[in-house]
Amino acid sequence: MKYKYIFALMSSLFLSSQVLMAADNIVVVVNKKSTLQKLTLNQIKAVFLGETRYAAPGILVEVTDRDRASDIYRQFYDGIASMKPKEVSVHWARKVFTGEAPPPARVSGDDAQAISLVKAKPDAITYIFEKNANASVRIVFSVQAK
Amino acid sequence: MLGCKSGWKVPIFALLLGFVSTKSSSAELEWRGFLTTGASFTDSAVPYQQGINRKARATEETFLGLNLSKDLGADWRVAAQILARASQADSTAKVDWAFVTYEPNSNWNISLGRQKIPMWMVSAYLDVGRAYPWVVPPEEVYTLFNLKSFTGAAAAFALPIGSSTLTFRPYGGDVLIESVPNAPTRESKIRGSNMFGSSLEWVQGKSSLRLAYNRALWNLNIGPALQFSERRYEILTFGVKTDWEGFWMSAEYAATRDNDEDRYFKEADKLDAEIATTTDGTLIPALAARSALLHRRIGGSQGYYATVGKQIDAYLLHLTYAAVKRPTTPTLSRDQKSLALGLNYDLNVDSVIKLEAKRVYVPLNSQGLFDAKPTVDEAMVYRIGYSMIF
Repeated sequence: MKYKYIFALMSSLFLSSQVLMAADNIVVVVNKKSTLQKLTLNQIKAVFLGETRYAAPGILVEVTDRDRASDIYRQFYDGIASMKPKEVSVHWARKVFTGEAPPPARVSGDDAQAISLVKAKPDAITYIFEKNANASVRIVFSVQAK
Repeated sequence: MLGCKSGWKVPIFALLLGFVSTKSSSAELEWRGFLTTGASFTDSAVPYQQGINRKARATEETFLGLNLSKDLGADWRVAAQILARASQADSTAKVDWAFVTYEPNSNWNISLGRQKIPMWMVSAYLDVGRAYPWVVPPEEVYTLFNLKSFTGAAAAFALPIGSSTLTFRPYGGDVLIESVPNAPTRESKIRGSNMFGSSLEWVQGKSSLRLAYNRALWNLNIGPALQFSERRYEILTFGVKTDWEGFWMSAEYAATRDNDEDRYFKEADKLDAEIATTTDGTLIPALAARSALLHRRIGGSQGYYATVGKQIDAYLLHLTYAAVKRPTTPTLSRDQKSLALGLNYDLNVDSVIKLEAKRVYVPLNSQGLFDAKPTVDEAMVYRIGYSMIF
């Protein structure tokens, strides 16, 4: 009888690990015409947390954030800054209500809509699940989903 | 009513509007807002902090803010905030700040206009309750000097050091403080000129260290009976905060210095000598009143607090110890210590309810931050707050 429980426990652990392994990476993407090639974690944090509008020397970007209720939003900020949605909200309150940075624009749809937006705006930068990335945008950073 | 009575506001907004109209941009106007409100009461027979008494009342800190910003092409941006303040006496809406920023690259920027003074750790967003844990920031530090906004220029220089950033922010200009909120008389306004200040902040992840300095020439003649003369005044603050796996800590120290104190003390001593030798008894009351005013200390204060907290799901439990030494007169200071226990509940990512119970201890020769010497040396202050951003 106890082997049955051990088997069930091991099966659960195995399945859990498979789910974790299957967690999607998130990638930061820009327009194909952008001169940006690769960005560092510090550069990604700086632009997505409103520290600067320059992703790299001389290269302005227009951040497009994702729906705050979405999984990708939660995973992205956890991945780049270990911040929960509430912390991101408080961080932006400090930035916006002191005039340090304007609030970021948002796209409320799925990855396909985020890609469409990046294709339409040369300066746009956003993030999508890696599995949904295609050749129409350029990947400049990869975030391991936690 | 928009508060456009002060002379400086008209040229500044004309300048900003003119500037906006000359810049072509496809960027949309972005706006956000916030609401901060609450109530407080005390078990003390003597009111605390200008009117908190045994009856629960809405705090003076009831704010509704509306923030607007717009990119003006590649390097320029304009932002403004309208702040509506409600109190039991009246309410009004004014332009809290408005400035234009030039950011040619990621390492530095410069701003011109009316801006928040980066004096204390949370003073730049003091009205946005969602952005800090307390119902109101510890008054032992945050009421040492009521610095909020100034009109002038500021710059920020950011230096990346590994994964951390060191930011230096110098600023300068003039400042006006309304000692009695919303009062229309000139006497309610305290003016500071030739103000210069700077802050140095090191940020590593969720931790930061902060040092700030401010100096100005203050005209403290705030009424016919309150002629404190002009004072060269300095403020120094130091702060640290960190957040590790839901454990949260914040501490701040502030000190003030009145560089003209000795000069006015000597003047007061001369008045005392004149009182002792005068033969005209009718002069004595006026001389004594003037001497008493000049003997009052405006600087020489020190305050600090330390807060620790733990976030558990939607709840934040926090404990704050605070103390202040404010030697206002030789006989009665405004020293006090306090211990506050707070519990916050996040309704969602944008709004929070806060409860706070604070035990205030007042030494023998002090009235603390009560409106007069309290009848007992310990008292409770209870606060509840609600804050949201939208």
